[in-house]
Amino acid sequence: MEPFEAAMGLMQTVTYQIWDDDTGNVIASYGSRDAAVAFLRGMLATNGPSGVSQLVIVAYPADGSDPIAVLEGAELLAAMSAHA
Amino acid sequence: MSYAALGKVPPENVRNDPSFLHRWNGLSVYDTYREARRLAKARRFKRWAYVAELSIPDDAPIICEGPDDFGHWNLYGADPVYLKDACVARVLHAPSVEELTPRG
Repeated sequence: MEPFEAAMGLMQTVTYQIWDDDTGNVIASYGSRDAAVAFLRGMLATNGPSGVSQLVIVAYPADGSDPIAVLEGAELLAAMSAHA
Repeated sequence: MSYAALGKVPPENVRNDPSFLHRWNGLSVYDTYREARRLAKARRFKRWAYVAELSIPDDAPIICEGPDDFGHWNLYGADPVYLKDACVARVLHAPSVEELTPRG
């Protein structure tokens, strides 16, 4: 479990939205962080690094507390490069 | 502009999903300044330091779909020039404007 998820509460329902920094649009929404990350990986596979470098996963807790940016596309690229 | 206008290609597993593609072509807006600012704050105002308040006439040539659970709407058929020239009521500096005051 990610630290922010623990902070939000074990039973908290969280929605993970994929936002594009360049256009300010939400392009996908998932019920799990893993599914959101899988989407970013799919964007990377389809569009290359430019397909994810401006994307960010934002977690929205169901209790209405403030959203949190949990993973930026640039971080994913860096993590994937580190494991290459 | 919508994300689709950038020319990016959706991942293969959603490329034939009509609901996904519909959202891909939408233009994201929030129904309150508060929600737009909360998102900008989540990004530490790095990219979204300014929030435009829109006033969309009832007879505008725009299809509005929403809101979702977080006050987010998607706009369709929204001409960018029309939005900028006819619908932007004001632009606010999000880091310094926490609450929206009524327009005079």
